[in-house]
Amino acid sequence: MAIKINGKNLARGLSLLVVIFAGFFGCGSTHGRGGAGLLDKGKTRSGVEIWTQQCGRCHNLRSPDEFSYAQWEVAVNHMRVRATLTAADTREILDFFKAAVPGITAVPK
Amino acid sequence: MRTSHTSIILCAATIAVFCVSAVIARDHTAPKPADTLTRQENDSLQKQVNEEKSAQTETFESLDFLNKRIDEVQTQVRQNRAGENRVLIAGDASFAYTISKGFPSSMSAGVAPLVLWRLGSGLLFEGAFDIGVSNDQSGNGVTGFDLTLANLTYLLNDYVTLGAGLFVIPLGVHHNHFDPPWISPLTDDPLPFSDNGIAPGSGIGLFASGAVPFGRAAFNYFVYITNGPRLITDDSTAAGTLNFDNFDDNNDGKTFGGRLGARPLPELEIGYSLQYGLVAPPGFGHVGALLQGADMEYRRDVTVLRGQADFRSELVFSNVDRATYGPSASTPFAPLTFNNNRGGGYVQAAYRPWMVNDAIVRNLQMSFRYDWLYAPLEAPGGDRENRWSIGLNYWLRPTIVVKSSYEFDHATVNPNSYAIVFLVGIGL
Repeated sequence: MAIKINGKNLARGLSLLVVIFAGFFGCGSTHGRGGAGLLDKGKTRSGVEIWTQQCGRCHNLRSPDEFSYAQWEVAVNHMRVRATLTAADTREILDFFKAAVPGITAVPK
Repeated sequence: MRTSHTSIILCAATIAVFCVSAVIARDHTAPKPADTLTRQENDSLQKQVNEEKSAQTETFESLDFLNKRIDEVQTQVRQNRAGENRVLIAGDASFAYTISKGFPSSMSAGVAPLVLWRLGSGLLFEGAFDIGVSNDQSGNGVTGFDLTLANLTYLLNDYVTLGAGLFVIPLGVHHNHFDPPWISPLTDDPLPFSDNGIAPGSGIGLFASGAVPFGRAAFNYFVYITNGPRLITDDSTAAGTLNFDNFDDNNDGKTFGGRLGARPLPELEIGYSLQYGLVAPPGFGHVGALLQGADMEYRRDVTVLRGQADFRSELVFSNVDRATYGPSASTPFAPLTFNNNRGGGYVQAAYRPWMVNDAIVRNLQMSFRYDWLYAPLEAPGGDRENRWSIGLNYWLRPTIVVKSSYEFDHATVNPNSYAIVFLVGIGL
């Protein structure tokens, strides 16, 4: 029997996803990362918080020591495109690496 | 009278002598004033002054030395600092041992370098290769070298990025986000995203993407135009399927697509993607293919579970216009006409108890996935395939994982099968 793929089935699939989301929101702990959403527009997040949330949503976090800041700048801008990060989040993450990577100081030109 | 004057003069002289004597005597007996120094004190002070002058000279010499050293270090830093053009080699590698029903057990290995090249401010180049070894039909060892990514992007502003080249097609997010073996918690791709799946991997064309923040939430978009897939019409075992490795377009019709994503929570992303294009070769007719995808990713630490929960799910639909395949000079099989609607998806969950104190347990990860891929039974290769997978992983480092999985595959046409896979995934 061939499956019928049409708008009705797509709507069912999307409904399933909505139910799954709702279940997670209802059961999820508010501890740990985040827990706030659209209504928290006024709140700001630190660079380390954005790093753990945005990068950690897909993969384990690499240690800041693994790359130099110059390398992190390349990697994070790459991930801005690959993971469609916002420009503001990208800057916050880079600022975090600037502070976290050992030996990073301002170099006079 | 004279006597009186003489007496007065004598008295005055006596008084004067007395006063002078008193003054002289006082000069010899009074204490010395505070602002006068003895020779010894003077010598001591002079010595101190000389010592301080010497110390000051040493300090100036030290400062000169430090300034010179600072200048030298700054010169070295400037000479060695990263330039505007920077290259970073990343990517992944894997080694696997597979035991599957009906096939000899086999080991395999591969590496996929990712070259990231920053060409000045705002310009980025991304190149990637899949390098693997296998045997050809004659049994000879061959090394496969596939270019999987080669694109240039320009960060136009905070909300728009433009790009061109060979890039990952964001129909769904598996290929874009979870493909590398050190990221995916299971040992292979979900069925819709596998080599015989219904979701494209990469394509050649142009794209624009960006993200817009809204408080703690964000919305993102990705739109593109590519050569698009090619409809296979002349293969009796695969007619009706789409070949996504269509790097030389087979018609003038281009494929348009895009994905809209939302991150209502930092830990959650949902998205909908769509792609449409003409896919038939010249002379075959007007055949369009509509692909749709819906995706959801959620990953967060859950204190109650003392670990991290990771939940991902995607749906993919492929609707290709009804067409008749064969016969022709190159397609000698009997004519086949069928509704070419396919669908697939997966639901996947993983849990890692990283908050527990035990060093072994905290690096374990359990995973589960149910995936499926349905194709018309009347189509060549058509089947209804459902697969269950369970996995147990051990993380040696954040980017190095030893994975194991057991998969049971149930199909309507093909025989049921199973596979046991051990895999080491490394993020470079």
